[in-house]
Amino acid sequence: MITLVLRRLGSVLLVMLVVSGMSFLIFNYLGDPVNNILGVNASLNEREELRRTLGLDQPSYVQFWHFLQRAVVGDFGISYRNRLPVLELILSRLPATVELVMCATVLALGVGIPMGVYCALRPKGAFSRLLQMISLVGISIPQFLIGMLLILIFSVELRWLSAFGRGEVVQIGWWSTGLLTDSGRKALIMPVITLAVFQISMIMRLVQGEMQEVMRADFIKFARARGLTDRSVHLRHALRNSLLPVVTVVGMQIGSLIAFAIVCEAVFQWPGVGLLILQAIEYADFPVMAAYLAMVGFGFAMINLTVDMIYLFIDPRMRRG
Amino acid sequence: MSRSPSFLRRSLDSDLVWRLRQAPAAVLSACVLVVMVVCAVAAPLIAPHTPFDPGTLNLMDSRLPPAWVQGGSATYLLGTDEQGRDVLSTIFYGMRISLAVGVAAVLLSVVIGVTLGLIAGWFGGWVDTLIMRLGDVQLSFPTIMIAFFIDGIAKAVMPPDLNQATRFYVVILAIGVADWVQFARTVRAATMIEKNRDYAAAARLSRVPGIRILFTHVLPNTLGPVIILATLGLGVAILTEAILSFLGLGMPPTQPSLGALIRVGNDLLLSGEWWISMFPGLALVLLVLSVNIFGDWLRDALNPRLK
Amino acid sequence: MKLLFKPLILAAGLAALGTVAEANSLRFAESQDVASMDPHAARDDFALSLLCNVYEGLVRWNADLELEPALAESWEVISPTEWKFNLRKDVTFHNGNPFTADDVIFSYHRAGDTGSPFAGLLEPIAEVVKVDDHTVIFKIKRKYALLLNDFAGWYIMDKEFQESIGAEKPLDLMSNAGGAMQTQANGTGPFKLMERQPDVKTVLAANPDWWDERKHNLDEIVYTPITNNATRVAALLSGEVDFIRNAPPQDLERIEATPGMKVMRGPHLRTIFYGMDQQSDTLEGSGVEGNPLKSPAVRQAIAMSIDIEGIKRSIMRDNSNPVATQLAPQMPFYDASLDVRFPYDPEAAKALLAEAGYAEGFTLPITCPTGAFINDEQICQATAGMLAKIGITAQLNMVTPVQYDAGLPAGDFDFYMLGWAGLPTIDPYNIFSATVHSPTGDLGAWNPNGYSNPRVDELIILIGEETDLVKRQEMISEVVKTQRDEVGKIMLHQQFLTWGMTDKVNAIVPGDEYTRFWYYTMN
Repeated sequence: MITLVLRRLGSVLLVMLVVSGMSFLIFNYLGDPVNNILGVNASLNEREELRRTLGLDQPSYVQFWHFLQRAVVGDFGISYRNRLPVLELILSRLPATVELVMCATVLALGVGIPMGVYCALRPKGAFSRLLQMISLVGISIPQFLIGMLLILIFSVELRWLSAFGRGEVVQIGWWSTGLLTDSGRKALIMPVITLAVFQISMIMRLVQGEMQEVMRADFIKFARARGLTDRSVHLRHALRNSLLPVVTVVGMQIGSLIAFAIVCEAVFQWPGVGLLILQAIEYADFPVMAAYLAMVGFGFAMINLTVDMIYLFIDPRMRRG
Repeated sequence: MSRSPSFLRRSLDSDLVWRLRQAPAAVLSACVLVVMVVCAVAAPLIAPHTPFDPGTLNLMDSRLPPAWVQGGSATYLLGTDEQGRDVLSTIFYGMRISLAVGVAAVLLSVVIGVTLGLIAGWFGGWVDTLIMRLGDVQLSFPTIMIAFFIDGIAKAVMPPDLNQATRFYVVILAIGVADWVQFARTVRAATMIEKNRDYAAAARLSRVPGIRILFTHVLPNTLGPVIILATLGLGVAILTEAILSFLGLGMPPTQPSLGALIRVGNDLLLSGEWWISMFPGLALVLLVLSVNIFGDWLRDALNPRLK
Repeated sequence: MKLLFKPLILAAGLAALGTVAEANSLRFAESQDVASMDPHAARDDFALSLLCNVYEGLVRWNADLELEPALAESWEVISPTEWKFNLRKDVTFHNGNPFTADDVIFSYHRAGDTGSPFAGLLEPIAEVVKVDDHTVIFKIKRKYALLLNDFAGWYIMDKEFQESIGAEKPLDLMSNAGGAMQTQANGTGPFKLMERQPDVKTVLAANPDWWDERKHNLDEIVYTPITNNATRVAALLSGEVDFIRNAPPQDLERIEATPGMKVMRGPHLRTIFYGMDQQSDTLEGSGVEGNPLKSPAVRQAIAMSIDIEGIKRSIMRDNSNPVATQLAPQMPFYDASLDVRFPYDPEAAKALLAEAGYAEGFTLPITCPTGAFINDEQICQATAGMLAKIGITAQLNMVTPVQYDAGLPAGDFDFYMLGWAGLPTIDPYNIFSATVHSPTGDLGAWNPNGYSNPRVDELIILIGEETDLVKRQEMISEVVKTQRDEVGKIMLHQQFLTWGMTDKVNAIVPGDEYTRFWYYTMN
C-alpha cells in the first residue's frame, strides 16, 4: 500500500512538473511583462536591461530550470504586478476562494439533496416536475449571466447587497474570513448563489438518480417487508446508501468549483485566487501564473489521491494492487 | 453486425418514437432544437441581414431598439448593436458558431474517448493502465484550465497573424480535448464486458481480426451510452465556449459566438440597451436548455436500468 | 433596462445604506490597483495619478495643469546647465522626519540610477550637489527645456525611512526586499497611507501637518479596485462607492438619470490614431505587390474614408472630439490653425486609391487592443466597415493590451491603433520623441517602421532643448504640419474623461487624468 501511495505521489510530482514546464513554454507568447513593469515611457535600453535582470532573455527551458531550482526550496519568486512573494500572495488570497467554494458546496448540498430526495420519492408529482425543470434551467444558464442579473436586481435596483468584494473580514492568524461580520456574510450571498446554482442542479439530479436505483434494490424491499415506516426506509436506508457516490462526486467537483470560481470572482470582484490568476494573465505576471498552475495541479492531484485512499480503506480488495 | 443485438438499433426501431410521444417537454425541446439548428445552419440564407460583411453596415443604424419599442425599425426586428448590426442576424450567426463549436468539440471528445476506451478495454494490461492514468491526470484539471492551456499553447506555436483565423479550431480543440475521459471510461467498461461475452470469444476463436471484432461487434454495443453522454456533453460544451468567450479566450468579436455576443453586450447591461445582450443571452439559454431536456429524455429512454 | 422595482428603491436604499459616514469619506473605485506604493517602481501614469496624493515632487501641476512650486519654493537657472532649487522649509514626511536636501539627493539616485524605471526621465541630469540643507544644484548634461515638467513626475522620498525598511532600490523583483513598499508609504503629500490590502482596499487619510493650505475637506479616501466595468458602474449606482474614474460612455446616461448622481466631463490630453508601417517594402497578406501604406495618397484615402462623426455619435456617444493632429487642444503649443481634418469623403478616397494604383483595393491587417483605449474594439470594427466601402478589406486582429504593448514596439503590427497623451511631461516633446521620431536609440520606441522624416527628427531634438517659447512654438507647429500633410498618422479623436460620482462630490477633471484630491470637496 505504501508503494501505491508513493507511486501516486510520484505521478503527482510528474504532473506538476509537466504542467509548470508547459506553462513556461507558453509564457513568452502571452505578452511581455516588461512594459507593464516599467510603464510605456521606458526606453528600449531600459526594457532590455530589465528583461536581462528577470532572465526573460533566456530560452524557456533555462527559465524553467531556474524556476525549478527556486521552487524546490519553496521560493516561487516575486509577483511582477503585486511586487510580493508569490507564495505569500497566493496564500493570502486562498481563504477568499476556499470560503466561497465551501459555502457554495454547503448550499448546494443543503438544497440539492432534499430536492433530489423529493423528486426520487415522487417522480411523477407536479412539484417534482417543476423542480426537475428548474434544475435543467440551472445547468443551462452560464454563470456570468446569473451573476450580472443578481447584481442588476439586488445591488442596482434594490440596493440590498454589495456588488463587489468581501465586505469586512476578520483575520484569524493567516486566515481571513468574512463569516464573522454582517457585511462579510451579506457579501457572500450573491457570489455563493451564482456559484452554487449549477451544483444544486447537479446534486439534485445525482441524488434523484442514485436514490431511484437504490429504491429498487432488494434490501429496500426487505426493509419494507420488515414493516419499517416509509420515513425510516427512505431516509435510513435509501438515502444513506445513495449518498456515498454523491459525496465522492461532490468531492471531485470541489476542484472544478475552484476553477469556475474564476468567473464568479471576476464578476463580483471577489479577491480570491481566481481573480488573482485572471489579473496575472492580463499583466503577464509569469511567476504568479507558474506557481498557480503548479499549485492547482498539486491540489487536484491531492484530491484525487485522497479519494483513492478512501476507496482503499473502504474496499480492501484494492490494497494488494 | 446482425448477430449481435444492437442496443441502439433495437431502441430506435421499437419504441423510441413512441416514447417521444409520451414526453411533451422532450417533443417541445426537440422542436425548438430543430428550429434553432435550421436557423443556425441556414443563417446565410434566412438571416435578414449580413452582419459580418462590414461593407453593409451603417453606423447611422446603430443601437436601434427592437421593432416593437418606440424608435425601433421594422427592418431590424430585435434592434441593432453599436456597430449597426441586426441583433437577430447576429444571433443566427452566433448560434451557428456556438453550435458548430459545441458539436465539433463533442465529436472530438467522442472520437478520442471512444478510441482510447476501446483500446484500453480490449488490450488491458499496461496499455489500459497508461490510458486510464492519463485520464485521471486529465480529470484533475477542470475544463476551463485545460482550455486556458491549449489556448496558450496555440498562441505559442502559431504565428500571430494565423491566430485569428484559426481561433475557431483552437476553441474546438480546447473544449474537445478536455472532455474525452468520460467517454473513454464508459466505452472501456462496456468493452471489457463485451470482450468476455461468448460471441466475442467465438469470433476470436474463428480468427476474426481483433480490430474487426472491435468495430463490428463491440463498438455498436457501446454506442447507446456514448450518445447519451454526447448529447448531455453538447450543452456543457456550448456553455464552456460561452464562458471562455466571456473571459476573452473564446471566439473573436469579428466572428462571435453567442457567448462572445453576450460578453460585448454585458458592458451595455446598465446602459438601457438591454436588447444587445438580452436576446443573445436568451438564445443561449434556450439552446442549451433544449439540448439538456432532449439529452435527459434520451438518457431515460435509452437507459434500460430505468425502464 | 427599465427599473424593475422602483417603489422599493428609496425605502430599501435608505435601510441598506443607513450607515452614512460621519466623516467625509470618499469611496473611490477604479479598474485596477496600483502595483505598489513606491512612486519610483514604475513610470506608470495610472499609479502616479493616485500616488500624487501621497508623495510630492519639487514642482507639481495645479488644477489648470500649470506648473507651480511644491517641495521647492523657488528656483533659478544659474547657467544653461545649472539649476538651483531652494527647498521648502518646515516640510515633514508623514512619519515626522524633516524634508531636507539629503532626501532630494537620495531620491535622485533611487529613481535615476541604472535599473530604475525613472532612469530615462532623469537621464539629462549629470549630478545633484547639496549646497545646504535646503538648497540643491542640479547640473545637467546639455541644454534641456523640460526639466521642470519632468520634475513634476518625480517624487521625493524619505532617505531615512527607505533605508530603515530596506527599500533603497525601487525595482527589486529578484529578492523580497521590494515587498516592503507594497503596504508602506512615507511621503510629504496631502494624504497619508493608513491601511492597504493589495487588490482589495487602500485607505488614505488627510495629512494634518501638510505644508500647503488645505482647501479640500476630505477626511478619508477609500480606494477599491473593481475590474469588471459593469460591476464598477453597478457599485456606483447602488451607492457603494462615491466616485469612479472613467465611467464607460454607454453608462453615462444611466448615471446622470439616477437621482443624486452626476457625470463630470473633461477633455483628455490623449489623442487616438492609427499608426502604420511606412518603411517595409511589402505588406504581408495585402494581396497586392509592394506596400500600399508607403504611399501618402493611400494613407490620405484611408483617412478620408473614416466617418469620425459617426464614430463619435454611435460609439463614443458624443464623448470624443475629432482631431487632425496629435496635440489635443489642451496640450501646450497646440496650434488650432493646423487642426483641420481631411474631409470624410468615401468617393474622393476611392478616386485617390485608384490614382495610387489600387483601384481594386487591398487587404489591410489591423491590430487592435482590447481594452487599452475607450471602446477601442468597437472603433476598429467600425473602421473595418468604413474601409470596406472604399474597397479595402480590413482583417481585424484583436490582441490583449499586454500582447499589444509587447508587439507594437517590436514592430510586429502593420497597422495599429494607438493613443498617446504625453504624460507625465505634458509637452509635445514627449509625444514626438515617443511616437513621431524615427526609431533610433531611446527615441521613437512607439513608432516602429513608422513615419520618418529627417527634418522632423532634427526638429524634435531641437524642441527638447529650446527654452524660447516662440521658437519652440514655431518648431512644434512645423512638426505637426509636416506630419499632418504627409499623413504620418491617421488621426481619430481626443477621448473625453467621464467621471461618475454622487452629487456630494466636487471634483476637478484635469486632462492628465490625475486625481488631485487636495482640490476635492464633499458636501
